[in-house]
Amino acid sequence: MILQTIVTGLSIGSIYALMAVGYSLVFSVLNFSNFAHGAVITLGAYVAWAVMTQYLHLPFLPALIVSMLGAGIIAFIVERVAYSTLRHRRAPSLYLMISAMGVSIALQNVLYATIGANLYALPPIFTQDSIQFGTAVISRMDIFAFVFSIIAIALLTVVLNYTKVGTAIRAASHDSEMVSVLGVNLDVLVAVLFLLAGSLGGMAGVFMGVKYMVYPSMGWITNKAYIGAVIGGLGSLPGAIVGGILLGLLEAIVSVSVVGGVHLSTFRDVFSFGILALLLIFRPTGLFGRYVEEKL
Amino acid sequence: MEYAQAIFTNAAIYIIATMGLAIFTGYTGLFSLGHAAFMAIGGYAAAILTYFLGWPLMPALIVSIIASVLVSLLIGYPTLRARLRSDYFAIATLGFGEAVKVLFENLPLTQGARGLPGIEKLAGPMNTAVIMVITIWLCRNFLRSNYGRKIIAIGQDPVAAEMIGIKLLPNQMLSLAISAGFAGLSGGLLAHYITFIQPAIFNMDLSSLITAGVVCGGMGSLTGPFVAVALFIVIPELFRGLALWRLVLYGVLLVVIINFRPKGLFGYEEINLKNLPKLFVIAGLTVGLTVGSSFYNMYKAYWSTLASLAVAALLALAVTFGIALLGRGLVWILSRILPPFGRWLRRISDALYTRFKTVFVPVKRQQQHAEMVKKRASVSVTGQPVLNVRGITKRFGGVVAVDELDFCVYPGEIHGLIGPNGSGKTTVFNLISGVYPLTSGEIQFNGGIISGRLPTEIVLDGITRTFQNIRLFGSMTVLENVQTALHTTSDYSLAEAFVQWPWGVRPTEERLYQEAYNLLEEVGLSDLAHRVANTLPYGLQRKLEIARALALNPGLLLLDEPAAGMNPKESQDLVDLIRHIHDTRHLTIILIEHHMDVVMSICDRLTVLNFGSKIAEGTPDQVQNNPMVLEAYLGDKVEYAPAS
Amino acid sequence: MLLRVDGLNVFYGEAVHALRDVSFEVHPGEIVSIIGANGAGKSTLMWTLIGLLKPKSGKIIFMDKPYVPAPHRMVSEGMALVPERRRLFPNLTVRENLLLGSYLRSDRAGITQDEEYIFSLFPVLKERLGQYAGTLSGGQQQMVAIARGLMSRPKLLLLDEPSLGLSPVLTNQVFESILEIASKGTTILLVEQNALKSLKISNRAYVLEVGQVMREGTGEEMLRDPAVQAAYLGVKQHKLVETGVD
Repeated sequence: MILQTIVTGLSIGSIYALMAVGYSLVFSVLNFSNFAHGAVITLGAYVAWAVMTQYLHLPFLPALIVSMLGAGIIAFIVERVAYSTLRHRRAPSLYLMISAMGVSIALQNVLYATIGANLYALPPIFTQDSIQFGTAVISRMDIFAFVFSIIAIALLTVVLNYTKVGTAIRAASHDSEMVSVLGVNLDVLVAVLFLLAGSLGGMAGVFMGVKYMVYPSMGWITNKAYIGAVIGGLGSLPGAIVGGILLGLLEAIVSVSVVGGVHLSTFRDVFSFGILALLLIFRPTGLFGRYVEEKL
Repeated sequence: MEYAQAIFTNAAIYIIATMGLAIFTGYTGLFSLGHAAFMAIGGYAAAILTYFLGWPLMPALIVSIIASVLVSLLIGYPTLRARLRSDYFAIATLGFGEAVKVLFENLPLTQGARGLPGIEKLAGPMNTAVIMVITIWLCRNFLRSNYGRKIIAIGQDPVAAEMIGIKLLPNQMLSLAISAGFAGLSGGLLAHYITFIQPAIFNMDLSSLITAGVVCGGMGSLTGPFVAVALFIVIPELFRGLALWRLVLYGVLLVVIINFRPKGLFGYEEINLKNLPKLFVIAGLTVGLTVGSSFYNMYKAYWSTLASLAVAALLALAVTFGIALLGRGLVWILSRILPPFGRWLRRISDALYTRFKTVFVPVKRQQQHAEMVKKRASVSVTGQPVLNVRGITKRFGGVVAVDELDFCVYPGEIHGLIGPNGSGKTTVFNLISGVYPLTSGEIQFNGGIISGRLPTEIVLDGITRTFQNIRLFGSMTVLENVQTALHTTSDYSLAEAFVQWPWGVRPTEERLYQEAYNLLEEVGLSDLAHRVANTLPYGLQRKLEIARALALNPGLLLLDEPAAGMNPKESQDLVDLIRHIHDTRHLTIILIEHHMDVVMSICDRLTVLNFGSKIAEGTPDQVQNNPMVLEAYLGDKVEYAPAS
Repeated sequence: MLLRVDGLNVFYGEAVHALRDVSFEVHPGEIVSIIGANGAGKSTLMWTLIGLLKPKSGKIIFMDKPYVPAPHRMVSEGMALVPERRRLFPNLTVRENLLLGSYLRSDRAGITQDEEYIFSLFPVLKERLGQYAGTLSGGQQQMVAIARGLMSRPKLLLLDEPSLGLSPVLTNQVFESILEIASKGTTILLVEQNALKSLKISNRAYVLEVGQVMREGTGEEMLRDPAVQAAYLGVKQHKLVETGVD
């Protein structure tokens, strides 16, 4: 039972981490919360659904790659359409956030208006999903999602730390204007950023789709990932990973808890937002966040 | 007809909620994504009272307002106190909205997800319309009052607002509470109009609708969001088959508006005679498209698609132009009629007011006003230092910005604070005004310790300042900037403000107007009193900033590089102004300045900083001859040959 | 001519006219300085030249090519800016800071060569390569900032207030290295509040007041100009005689 809860928690937590990393990457450089990330993730899942069940009938791994690419490109297009004008105008980050909210509302409802509100299942990855471990039943899918997410995040870390573009991204998280003064084309850098964030999001979307279902409002789950990112400290990569996994574990524990005869699973989301509220009030910088004093 | 009534009532209900959100989001710039939750709370509160207890509508609505306000205070206090960045605040409110929904889904009283069906239909077009009109009137009154000005100021520049002594937390909470109150009212009406209530009604779509209304209608405006939400409700009804795409439209509109016209339809202005034609263009477009599309739908069966489309397009264009033109004509006529009519109304109300002023404005209040004016005019002169800075140190991480600094400023002197760039001068101002906490040391003002107190308290104690980069309330008028700073002398209550209680609000507002005008006269800006502040030339903005600081009747004025970026004539003007206010008010001033001619000509004494420490102090003459100062400014005596 | 600026006008928003009809030129191999009070528009000029601020009107011709208001274009044409307050990336090591300076280059051999050149200018940096830039002292940070600017192998190096916040000894070191960089053939446009020092090392200089070029001349001429002396060369004129000017 405990093992099972931990594995579930780790798997959902690692998916949160995948999404949270996307929030943090964008936030670190552009200093706004990209509330359109959820819609991108949803579209990533729909791409997988389309290529697996509607057209092409691809097997899982190629489909995963296609939807990662698809989500990355969608994220890039969203940036071009909804953010780049504002960026060039140096608009306040509030405007970017509003624009992101607009994109999120629009994309989600485009899905409702075209494909509809139906729930679609993605074909299972494993024919025999559960492994018996003593009394515990563990899902292969959960382990698979966890391992894959960790690999993806590790690759991202390598890119950020050992390539020139990655170094520029880390530098831009501190002072993007200065990065551009050194000759880095910010438009290209931001495009890379959104491609990275989007494709990780697409991966998360596919895992979500396999684990639950594919439907237009599934992007709502990213609010949790956002909470994970805030727990770790928005803008911090290790923070997003730790925060996401921590939140996943906590939720898994809450879901199986019973207090005074009441199953807490109903209140799981309230619990997550409760954590967020407490954190924002008492430590808004999160676990790894940095604090910047405003200049007058 | 019934159909039109239904649309109208729906629109009116949402407009009430939107007016509330406009007061909060539109003026503070904080996004509440959980505003539907306040509607839900109001809706359930009212519905439970009429449904289970058989209350009549009006008292139930009042309870729904109270319930929403109380809850808003409960969630507003911790979140606003923490001064979250705007996106954190948005996500926190989103979480709040979610929590409220889950709560209503699980409470026995609210009957879970099924909700309360069969609520009596107590709300209709008539009472909803009346309540909507009252709502708009109340909001307008509030915004025009001293309370409203404070909230507007915070939205435009929270730092500048604090530096004229406006506390952020209580004012932002007030704004949220008002906003929640109207949302609750709107929820209560909604429940009694659609006759059932369930948690699913109050979802993200609803929050998105009113948020999109405020952004597209224009932040800092009431009439803008009014028009926007009305259009949002009406347009999808006009185009059938569009229902599914309605939310897509809101989203796209948000993106388009914020990218290409961030002030929305009527940002930072209300509908008036000048911009009324714009409204007719919008109305014309709406009607034109409706006419065109219904024509197309009717005739496409008979004519070829292309032909019917072409005729429909022409028709739409014609109708749009027609209405726009009609609007222009109407505006032309109105502009002949309304201003004289307005003047006439004003005269009558003025006459009535003067006639009954003596009867209704309590004598006690009149006396209070007289005393206040007298008190503000008096100056206390003692031999004690006004400001006594004792061994203050400020570290940022490992960097010591100010190091064990001591200096005194005596009553009535103009004290210069000079030093090379980066020597810590502005940091000293930030320490005096409490923006940064001290690492160690102590600051006394008029004998009392002020270090450790809040910036707003220090301002109200009597230390005001101007900023290196001018910080005005940009979209307020020149006069309003100063009126806002007079907030401490306003004495009417919030309730009086809401109804514009003539015998409470009016005498005070008249006094504030006069005082603000006098201050503008003092700095030579009275001719520009009604210009929008950010359209003033740079030099005059600086003067306005000084007038605003003077409005708090300070005992000590901190001027941070007032002559920066000014040409010699402008800086001479400024020197004259500083000397003038110093002489007439016997005001103590600390001045940071790089223009040495300015410093030398008006400062009584100077303190020279380098690397955060004092390297010299004395009269301008003494300082100029001090070798340490020369070295700080000129470097040492090493010679360089020019590169060849 | 390396750089020619003609009738440049730059605005902040609608109301603030930051540069008014600014014209000047820089010839290859020169050190040209621009002096002026705070708020005169010196930094604005630098940010405009590198392409970050868009001028409203006027001509900028660099290396005989038309100007494009995009920093990555100007850097690839051979301009580099060392901005006011250094603006290092404190979360990156010194090595990574330098690496970003050479972002547009791919000639490994050349980069290594330039690194050696930088270590010859600032030997202390060699020991600090692995250290986070945020942990360096002010003087070392200024060295890294200049080194980062040099890593793109610029034809024209824009230096904005390199002596800001430095003690006299460190200021001297910075000015010495500026002379050395210039002697290796890099042209320098220098903005300084320390007018005396910058005029002493400059071939030519311009005075900027409230966004306008008010005076120009050789460094020597400016040092002797009584108006410049009164406004920029310090607190009192007769004192300057004692400190060795003239």
